[in-house]
Amino acid sequence: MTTNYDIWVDFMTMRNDRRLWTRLEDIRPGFVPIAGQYAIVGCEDAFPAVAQIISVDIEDGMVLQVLAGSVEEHRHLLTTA
Amino acid sequence: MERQDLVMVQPLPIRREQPPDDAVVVVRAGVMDRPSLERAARQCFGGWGVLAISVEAVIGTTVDQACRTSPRLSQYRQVRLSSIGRLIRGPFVLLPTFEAPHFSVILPDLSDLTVPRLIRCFDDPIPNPGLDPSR
Repeated sequence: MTTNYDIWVDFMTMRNDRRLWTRLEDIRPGFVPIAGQYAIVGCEDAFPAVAQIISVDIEDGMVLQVLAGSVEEHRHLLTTA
Repeated sequence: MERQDLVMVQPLPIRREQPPDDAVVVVRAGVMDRPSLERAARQCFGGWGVLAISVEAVIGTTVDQACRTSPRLSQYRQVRLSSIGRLIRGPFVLLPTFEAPHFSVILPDLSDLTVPRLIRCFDDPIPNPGLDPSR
């Protein structure tokens, strides 16, 4: 997939507390999710967002906390590899 | 079934409430192209063991306001509209899941019959009426 996000999400599944669950297979190749760090999340026809990775489990997938606002507003949280 | 095939998932959390009226508008954000719909349904299957996509019902508000205030809908450039009645006649099962006004549209499979039928239950995409003009 050619994307500008680290993790594919369906924002329609986001809870009112802005948490959502996703699968490890929805991570872009090369991106290593680490609990506590931040990632760019998005999908084909949505505005991308920054999310904190709350938990990562090889069997249970990941829980993310999506931050309100644009990627630019939160770019300082993103780790540059 | 062999033991290693028995993978437990969390149950889909269903609200105890009466089904909405057939005329209630339902919104799914995004253009709903087939690959992304299938991916969303598979993601739901991975987490809760059912093929389903998420929609929001517009209850006690307007489509514009729902699109403006929902943290989900406001994330998208375009939305597609349907109604409870259209989806039920689809025929699809709608379950009130997670927090209102979220509903899950249950898909029996992702076949060439089911997915196009689901897409036809929705109007063509329109620009998100709740979009922040600064985006």
